[in-house]
Amino acid sequence: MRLAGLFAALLTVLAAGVVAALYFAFSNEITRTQIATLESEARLLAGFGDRTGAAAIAALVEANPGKETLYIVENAQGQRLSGPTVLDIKALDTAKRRLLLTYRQGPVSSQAREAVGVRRPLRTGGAVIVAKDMASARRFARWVLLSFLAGIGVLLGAVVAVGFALATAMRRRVDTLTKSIREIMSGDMSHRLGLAGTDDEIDRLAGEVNRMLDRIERLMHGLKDVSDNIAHDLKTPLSRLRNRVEAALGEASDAESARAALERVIEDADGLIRTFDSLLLVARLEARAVAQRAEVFELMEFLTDVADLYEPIGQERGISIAVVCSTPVSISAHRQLITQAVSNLIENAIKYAADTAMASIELSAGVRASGVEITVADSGPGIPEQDRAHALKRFGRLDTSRSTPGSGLGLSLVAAVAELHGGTVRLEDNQPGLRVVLCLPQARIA
Amino acid sequence: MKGVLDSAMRVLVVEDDAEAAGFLVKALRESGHEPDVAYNGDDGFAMAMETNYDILVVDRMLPKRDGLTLIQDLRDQLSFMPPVLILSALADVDNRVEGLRAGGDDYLAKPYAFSELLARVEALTRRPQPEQLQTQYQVADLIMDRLARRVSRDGQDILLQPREFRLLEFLMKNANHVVTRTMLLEHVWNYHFDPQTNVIDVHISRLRGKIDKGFDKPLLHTVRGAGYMIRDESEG
Repeated sequence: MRLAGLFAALLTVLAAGVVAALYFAFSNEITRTQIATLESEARLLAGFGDRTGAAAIAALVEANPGKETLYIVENAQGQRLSGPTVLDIKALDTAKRRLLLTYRQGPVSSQAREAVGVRRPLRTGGAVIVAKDMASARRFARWVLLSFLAGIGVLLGAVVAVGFALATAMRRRVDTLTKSIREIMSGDMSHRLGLAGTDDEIDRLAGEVNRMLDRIERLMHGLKDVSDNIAHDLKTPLSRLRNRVEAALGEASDAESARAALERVIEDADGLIRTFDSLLLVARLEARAVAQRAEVFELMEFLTDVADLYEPIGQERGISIAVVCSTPVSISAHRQLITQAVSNLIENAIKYAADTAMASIELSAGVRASGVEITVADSGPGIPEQDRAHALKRFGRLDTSRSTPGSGLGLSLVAAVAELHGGTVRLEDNQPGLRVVLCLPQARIA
Repeated sequence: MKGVLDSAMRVLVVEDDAEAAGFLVKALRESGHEPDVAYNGDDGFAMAMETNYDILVVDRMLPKRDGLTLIQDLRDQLSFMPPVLILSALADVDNRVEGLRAGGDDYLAKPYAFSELLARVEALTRRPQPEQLQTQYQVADLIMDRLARRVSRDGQDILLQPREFRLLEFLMKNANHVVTRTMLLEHVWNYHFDPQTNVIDVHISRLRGKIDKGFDKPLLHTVRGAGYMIRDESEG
């Protein structure tokens, strides 16, 4: 706003300067052409007068009075033979060629007027003075000046008005944004900046800020979920561990039972550490704080290796684990993270498919338009459609399965690994069972 | 938890947390080793320059000179560089790769079980022996021919899957020493994470079914709270 005022002032001064310069140049030019005209007329008259004498010219000009031009003839004695009543003559130059005349036309009561004139002496003695009344020239110059001033005034007014309107609109929008930001800062994280729908710089900036707020809100919700769930998923094993130690202190009658109690304490602690490690890894993946170390590897072989690790435990629990892949599929990805993600999926599948008849787990990989897909399908109870989104969240263990072991971080880790690769995780119905599809777009690692 | 030792090792522990260092020194001493401790990177550097240690156990985050710098400085200065085990609270795969690139021989994430640390320390000190030359491993009557990829016990051939062969190979290479589940996962499967399930135990019991079942004495032992060990217990 202050800047706009300064700008208007500067513009005014500049415009005034331009008008003054134009007016000065213009009025000079008018005077110059007038004098040139007067001189040529005086030369003509003088040429005539040189032959006929002053009296003859006087008679001529008396017979043909000009409308605004004054013809004054002087005889050799300096007496004026024609023309209006001259009140005063001032020379404008040293040669006394250019004159400023004050004269009166008609009766004594009439107004004195001014004229610019040129004097030309006659060879026969005397001189002619041709003069032009200045009133109309002055009127013209004033008219030019006024129209200049009016034009520039209108222009300036328009500039100032538009500038003011723009600045006001801008300030109103910035004020709205500031107000929204204050509300968000005071704790209402769901609030967003309003967009004017104009797709200009401010709108784009507001859009970016909104996207940033979305991300911050998601991270904050994640944090809140963590703190909410830490209470359950970390405090429960912690208090179990504490009770175990307390019980061992109270009851341990012999070294053997004390030792057994301590070993279980270590197991509990290891479980806690694992949960914590997973939690940290998910957090680091979500914050993209993991170095991007992509390598190219072949999935059929890769899945066979992972299946090989879990095959004995599957057999022990009556679950067949098979890799169904028809063609080799190469992928560029963070191998250790993909290993961990697939392992988590297999461990989940083993956990949930264990009690079903003809339990099986199938691993497969294939190329789709969207990228490379790794699928882990089991014959377990599956996840009802309405619970699937929740299952991918951190600690999003479905309440019905709270009693089964596991941190509930498995699927969220898979989701975080997928997101790091710019991919997605889909949960589908395997009829019966759960199909988890890890879709990783290729040719880049996010 | 005592390992079976070839000889006592001189261990330099560089760890700024006095309590953790004290615990480590006490446990190493109880295991028959001779530990020294330095509480910062500069002291660690000076002590490693002065004494020939068999192994260095270096915390990654140290005052004055951080662990990775310390290792690099020692590599530049020492004519014989002992193996280094890096300890770190930074635990994921990328941190591990970074640590190993900087010159660590092994990497252990905090918090760790002492049995895990001891098993790794002892495995590292055995490393310099030229293992490629050893084409045959033998523990009691269990014999592995690495070139022919054949295993027999008491003269009977034992058929192993390739993975089972590699599992047994690693256990026999470290015969008489504890091998942890994490070490097996790292060396036999090349995976660097902790599975939630007891996958390794199931692999071991399957292997045990092939090499111990039906023979007079078991060779593949479970070391409670630590891991596994192949050992002929009738020997001294």
